Amino acid sequence: MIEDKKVEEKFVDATEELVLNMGPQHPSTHGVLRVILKLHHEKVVDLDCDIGYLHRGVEKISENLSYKLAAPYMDRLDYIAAVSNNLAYVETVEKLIGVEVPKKAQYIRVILTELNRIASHLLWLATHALDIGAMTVFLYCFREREEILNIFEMVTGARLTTNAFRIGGIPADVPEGFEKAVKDFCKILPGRIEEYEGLLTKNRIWIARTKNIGVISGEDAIAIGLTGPSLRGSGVKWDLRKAHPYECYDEFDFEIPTGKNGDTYDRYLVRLEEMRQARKIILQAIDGIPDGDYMAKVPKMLRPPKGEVYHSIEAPKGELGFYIVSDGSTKPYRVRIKGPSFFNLQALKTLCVGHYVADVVAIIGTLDIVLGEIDR
Amino acid sequence: MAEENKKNSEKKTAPPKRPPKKEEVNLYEDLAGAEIFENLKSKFSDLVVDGKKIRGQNIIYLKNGENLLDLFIYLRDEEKFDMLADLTAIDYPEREKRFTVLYNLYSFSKLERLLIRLDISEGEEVETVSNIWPSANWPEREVFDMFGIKFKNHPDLRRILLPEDWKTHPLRKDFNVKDRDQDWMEKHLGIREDVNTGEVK
Repeated sequence: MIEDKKVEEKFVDATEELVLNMGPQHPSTHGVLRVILKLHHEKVVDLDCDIGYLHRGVEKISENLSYKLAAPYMDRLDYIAAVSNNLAYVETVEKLIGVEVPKKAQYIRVILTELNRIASHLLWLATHALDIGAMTVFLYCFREREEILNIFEMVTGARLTTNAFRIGGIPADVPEGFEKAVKDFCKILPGRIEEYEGLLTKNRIWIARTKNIGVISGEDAIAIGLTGPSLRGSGVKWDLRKAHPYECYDEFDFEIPTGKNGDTYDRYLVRLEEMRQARKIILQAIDGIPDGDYMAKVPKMLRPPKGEVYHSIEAPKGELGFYIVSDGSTKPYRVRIKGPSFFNLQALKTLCVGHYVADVVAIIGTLDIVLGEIDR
Repeated sequence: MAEENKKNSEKKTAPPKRPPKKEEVNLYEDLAGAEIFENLKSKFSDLVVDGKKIRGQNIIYLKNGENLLDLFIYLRDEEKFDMLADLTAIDYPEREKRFTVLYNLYSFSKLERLLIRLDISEGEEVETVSNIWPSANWPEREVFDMFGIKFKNHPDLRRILLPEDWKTHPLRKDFNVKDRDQDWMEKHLGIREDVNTGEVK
């Protein structure tokens, strides 16, 4: 009896902090992320992220490769949005050597990148909903993502790490049936998004798990370096496609969706609307593909002049930038990859403190991170 | 005979014909006269060394000094560069001041980007900017990890990508790619490689 009482007292006095280890092998950390949580009862007091499990040294590798050979490595950063990664790198080198890409290639690039944005957001929605407990959405999203991957396979021959573009344009003209496949997909997409919305947007459990979870104001989001949908969810209307148009984004008509409260629910709505806007861009681009060349004249061995260039694009997860220093030789002197996930994950601590352990999972999901790009 | 052989082999190894060398293109333009550059130069004449423009991108060259943080606070509050988009470093082993720390600032109100290059020598410490822009926390840790540059007053300066007891700094130019930290590998993985062949002993 006495012993029992001791145990009881111990439970009553359990006010000290508990350290809980989460990951690196945890299904809801979206890769190999280790989070060390300091808990008071069930609430998070402090946390620390341990990253680097996927570190491959891509920045160092590309210092030892020629400009063209480094491009496929960039697909492996954010493997969910390989096309966007490839585009950012290729465009940076083009800016460095000063090449004008033909209009036709630009249109096809825009179509593929926007398809990739939809695919990335679908995978985000699938895993995010699965983390919170909505199993059906997972299966539905993968069904649509499959269609996009089929289009990628048709154009590039690969489904995931596509290496879709080359410095100066695209490697080959699009195959027959491409237009039809894209249009068919665009036709089914709005109905499918409505399906997801029907399952989630007014779902009481979904609202309880996402509303007022991980709230961050626009100012704080800027200070901590959030970009992409996570920033727009806080009401900052900033999109690199509008702010600094690259390719031919200034020729298309589309909106930048923003949220109001900066919580998980708003970021969810922003991403859903972004899928619709991406579809709108694709439909405008697919009807307007001009005739002509798809590859600019680029020497076989690139020898950019001495200089340095920073260029960034709006990847599905945020601002993806490359900073390349050239010393006039065939290999880049320094390649720096500014990945959006690296900076977005940094905000995890700000967002999580004060919430329950179960919400950490929701917040990791809403930040839409991919460890391949954080660790590089 | 031997000489002839030598001559022949020299002929064979002679490099193939190359197209005539193009004139070197200078992409850098002078930034003198630009508003931001003149403002900074008049206020922080002891820090600002030079200003250049390349492909439409402004770059300011700085040297390290005591009032470095004042300059960054001025940039944030007066010039409205409210986001530190990126922070990284470059290694130039042949230079007297070996490292360049690169700050990538962005202004949401002006929709403008500014690159700042700060040259420092090996072993020199730089004041952290993580109190000015919280987003600098992790990138500074990464620079410490990859280049071994220390940031003064950083709240939490640890390695971020590599293990904490790792010794080398891989993004330095004198780092041999094949030469991983063998002591670390032996301690944690129980293997030791030959540096040149990669054979596991």
